[in-house]
Amino acid sequence: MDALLQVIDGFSISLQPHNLWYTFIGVFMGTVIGVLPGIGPSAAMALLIPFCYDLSSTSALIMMAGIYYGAQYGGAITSVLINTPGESSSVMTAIDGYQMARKGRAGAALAISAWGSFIGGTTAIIALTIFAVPLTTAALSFGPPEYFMLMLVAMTCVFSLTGSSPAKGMLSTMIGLAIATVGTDLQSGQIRYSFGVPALQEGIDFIIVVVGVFAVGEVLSALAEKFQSTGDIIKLDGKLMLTREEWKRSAKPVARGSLIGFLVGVLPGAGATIASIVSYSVEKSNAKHPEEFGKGAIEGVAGPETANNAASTGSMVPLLTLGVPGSGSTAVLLGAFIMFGIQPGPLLFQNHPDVVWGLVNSMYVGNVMLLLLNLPLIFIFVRLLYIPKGLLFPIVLVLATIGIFAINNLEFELFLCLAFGLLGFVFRKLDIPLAPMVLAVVLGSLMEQSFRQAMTISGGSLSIFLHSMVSISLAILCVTILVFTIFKTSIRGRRAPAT
Amino acid sequence: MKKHSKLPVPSMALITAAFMASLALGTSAIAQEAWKPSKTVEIVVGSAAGGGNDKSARALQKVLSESGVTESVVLNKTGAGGGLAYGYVSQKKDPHFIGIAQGGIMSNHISGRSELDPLTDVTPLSYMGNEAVAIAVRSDSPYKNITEFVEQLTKDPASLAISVGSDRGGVNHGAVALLAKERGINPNQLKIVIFSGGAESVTNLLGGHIDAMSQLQNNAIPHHQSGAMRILCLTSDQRAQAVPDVPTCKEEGFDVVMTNWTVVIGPKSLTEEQVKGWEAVLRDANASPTWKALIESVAGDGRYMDSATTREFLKEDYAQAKDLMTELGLAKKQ
Repeated sequence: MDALLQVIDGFSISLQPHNLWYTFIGVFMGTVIGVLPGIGPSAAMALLIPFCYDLSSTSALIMMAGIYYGAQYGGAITSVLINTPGESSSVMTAIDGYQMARKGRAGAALAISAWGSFIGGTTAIIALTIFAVPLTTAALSFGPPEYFMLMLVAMTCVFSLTGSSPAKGMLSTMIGLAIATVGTDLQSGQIRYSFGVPALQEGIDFIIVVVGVFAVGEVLSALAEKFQSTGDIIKLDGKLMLTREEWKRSAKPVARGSLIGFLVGVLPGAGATIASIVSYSVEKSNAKHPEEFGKGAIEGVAGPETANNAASTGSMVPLLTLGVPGSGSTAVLLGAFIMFGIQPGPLLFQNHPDVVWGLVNSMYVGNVMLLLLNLPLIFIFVRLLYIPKGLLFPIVLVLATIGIFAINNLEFELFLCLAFGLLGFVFRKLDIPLAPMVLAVVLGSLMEQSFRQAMTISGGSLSIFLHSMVSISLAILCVTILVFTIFKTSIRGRRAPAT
Repeated sequence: MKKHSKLPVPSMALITAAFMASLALGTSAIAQEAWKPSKTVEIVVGSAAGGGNDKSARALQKVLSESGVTESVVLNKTGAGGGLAYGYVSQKKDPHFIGIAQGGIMSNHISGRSELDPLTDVTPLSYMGNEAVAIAVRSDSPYKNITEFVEQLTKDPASLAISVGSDRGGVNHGAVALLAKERGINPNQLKIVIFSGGAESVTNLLGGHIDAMSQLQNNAIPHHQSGAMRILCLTSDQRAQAVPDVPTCKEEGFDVVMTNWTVVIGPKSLTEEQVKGWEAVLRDANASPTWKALIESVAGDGRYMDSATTREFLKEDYAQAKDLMTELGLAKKQ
């Protein structure tokens, strides 16, 4: 009963006019930041810290959290319109989102992203309110072997959804894994493949790869198309928002995405990204027309966009209950808590219920605001498609340059980004999928580290991967996906040998 | 009126002369008084937003602004184990560039990750405080104190998986290696697990995936207070107020003191006045409530040292770290 009172009390805090105002500022900034590729929420939140000193701790945290989950809404916009995911969790959205835009359904793709994000986010807050504490125990059962198996499941999903040619998908994945090995190896402290370049010692930032292969690569191939005059003009077609049919197709993906997103998000690590991958492959394997995936299936946008938002809310669970940040942006949020003398962790719910529930409940309000903010914005954003490419692409390049330079203020990384742009161009020409490479860059190092951590703990025995029920179940899942994929590919190959 | 018009002329000259004289006097007075930052200061950090010394930088930024000294911006420049950030400050000819350094500036030079020599390439301006390392186990662990824990390691050094966070060769690793050495255990035989940071060590310890962690104390203290973990000892020279029941390693008979310090550094070539000026500013900053709150948030020790004392301290610290890292096989071969 006490707990319930605290939750209700939290509403009275989050609905105070000044807190509503800070929620609005936060989610508005988050949307803007989410749209700009490169400038991530963590950098924006860190910049904001000095301005928070004069606010009450609750107001400041409400505002910063608003940036955090607000950025997840904006991430879909560039993925759909210019095929440039702003964050790793939006990579899956770009696959079908951009194809939808090319078919004239950009408005629908953005609308389902906004609705999916809203539903996923809200479901996750409800789950957070009810299950935060018991789920913490479940999240703790994930050690290095379990994480490795989870990454393996994610990589298997990536591989299984690479479409027509498994060989090309494999090639893309392998190149991504190779890129992930650049930099200082955490386990031994050795520097690998840096070629004496100091900037490479910390590895290659994911944003450089994603902006390079997606944004710069897109500009390059559009340029090539122009010279060969094969370029098609993207137009809007039919109703701007969702049709009844599209709603019907999206309902289940959104529901499943909410669940997958929250559960995966609770695990600290690459939560939102893995959630979006898992959701995409679940949708593809459940779809009536899996062949539409990669060509503009709305399920492929609805599922991952819902899941990544639910996951970003889910990752508030380990932050609040354990004081463990799962990502760069939650690390900044943790820093803000500590700055105000509040230690997130086991005692937070007892010591500062007003702050916790004020913050959590502000997220309900924030999600409503984001929906109301994002739906009308679609009318404006889709106009981007009418900007002549001669104008749009230079703008994309400028934004990409600013975004990349803002990460580390290093000129070298601009050249690196350009090089990835060329790689992206070549991939497009050879019809090699980009997503597996990009996701392998994100997950590769995590996967390697957890494998080697497990090996250290077990003293070199592989049996550690079969020591817990969690990792055994994940191993079975992995094999199932693999068998299923090979089986399906061979059946499809037999039925339609022409493709 | 016209009659008087001629009179002011000589007096004008006089006034001007007097004004000029006072101006000249004034400048010399300022020069003698002390140098002070006169434009926006850039505080350079070798880690990303949200990291350890990023927090210190942003607290310093707030202090400088509140006390009216100067406005400042924080610049995150990651790469080469902080080498890029400190190298950037090192070469500046302008005292308005400072950096926040921690133990990594030493270990990354010793390991060869960074070319920047912390003893000669930068000017230490002030020592601003430190945080000790906690050796912690889960509360259901059979090891009730550090003696029992190290005894088990004496029997079999590789029998316990110990996490030291992300930094092989850093203070966390150094602390547990020194504890082992105290009882004649070869620190290279310990089973050291590296995670991406302290937070991951915490979840893995709480989840029972590892046996112990050697981690900056802010990671362990909230869990010790909640009863989920037991801190066996702290590597500070005195107990922390936040956990008065936890002994120091020294009290338990291990002569190990190891802390992660925060030092503000400036460019290599600074004049004596500029160093003195920064000392004054940073001494005040160190005593400010904001900085004290930052130190308190990690239950740290906020002691201050001026530039000369810090330089001596760093020399000693470097030699110690180098010895240990050489023994662990992590120092760059010369």
